Amino acid sequence: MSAVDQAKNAAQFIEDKTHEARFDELIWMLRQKRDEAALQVPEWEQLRDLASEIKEHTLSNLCHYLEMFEASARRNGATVHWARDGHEHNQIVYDILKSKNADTLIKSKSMLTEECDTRAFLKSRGIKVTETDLGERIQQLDDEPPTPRRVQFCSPKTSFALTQSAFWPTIS
Amino acid sequence: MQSMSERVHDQKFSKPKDLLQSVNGIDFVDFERPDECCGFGGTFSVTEEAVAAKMGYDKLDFVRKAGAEYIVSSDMSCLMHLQGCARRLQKNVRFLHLAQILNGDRE
Repeated sequence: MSAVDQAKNAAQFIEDKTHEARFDELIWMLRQKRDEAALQVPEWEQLRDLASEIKEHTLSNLCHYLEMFEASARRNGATVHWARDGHEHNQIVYDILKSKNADTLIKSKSMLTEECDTRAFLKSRGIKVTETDLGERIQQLDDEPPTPRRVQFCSPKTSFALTQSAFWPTIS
Repeated sequence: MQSMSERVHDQKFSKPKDLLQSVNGIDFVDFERPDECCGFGGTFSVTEEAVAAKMGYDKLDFVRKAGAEYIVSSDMSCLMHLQGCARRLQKNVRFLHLAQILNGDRE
């Protein structure tokens, strides 16, 4: 995944005034709903702190939790693969497809495979990849990345997967 | 009034407002999105010029829409940034530091 020029993208995004205004309206609506909900919970800030501590603890001890996950998944009959980076992840996926003589892959809403640029990797090796989530399918046909290019921020979910994808197991 | 915090449970609290309330003849106005930053943010305005400017313009719009004649702040950076934005947009709004009011200055 290539580095993002935040400032340049932001300037472009702001330049498109109609789109920016609509986007702003949408995000502000979400913010208002969030505030409304937060006001119903007196211990809101304590809960935020607690969630933050849990997240920090989990990220600091990720090796432990990933191995714990691996053990549970194996116990449940899953095969767990470990990939050091996006390329290794893609290679594992491709090897599995090849071993099954598969030439088609159907996938849906996988940010990890987007971050690993799996679609391009497989396409260049003759695998036909089809997105099934409608929004992502439209973006695939439009040859656009799933997070709209003009949207500037990463969701916590995305940045988490991005940071940790080097150690992320692939389950098959 | 600008909110002092983005925390939903702390938004009513404002020391500058407490001080200004002791001065006669000031009408306070409430504007939309009171907890949004003016966009200056120190080096942010240098590295993220487009976003910083847009945030400043938005803040000015909300304040102007609410009918404010003066923008008063205890923060020189916010004042400088918003004054710059106002000059570019040729908006007729005046700026004062909180201390100027407490000292009895008008402009």
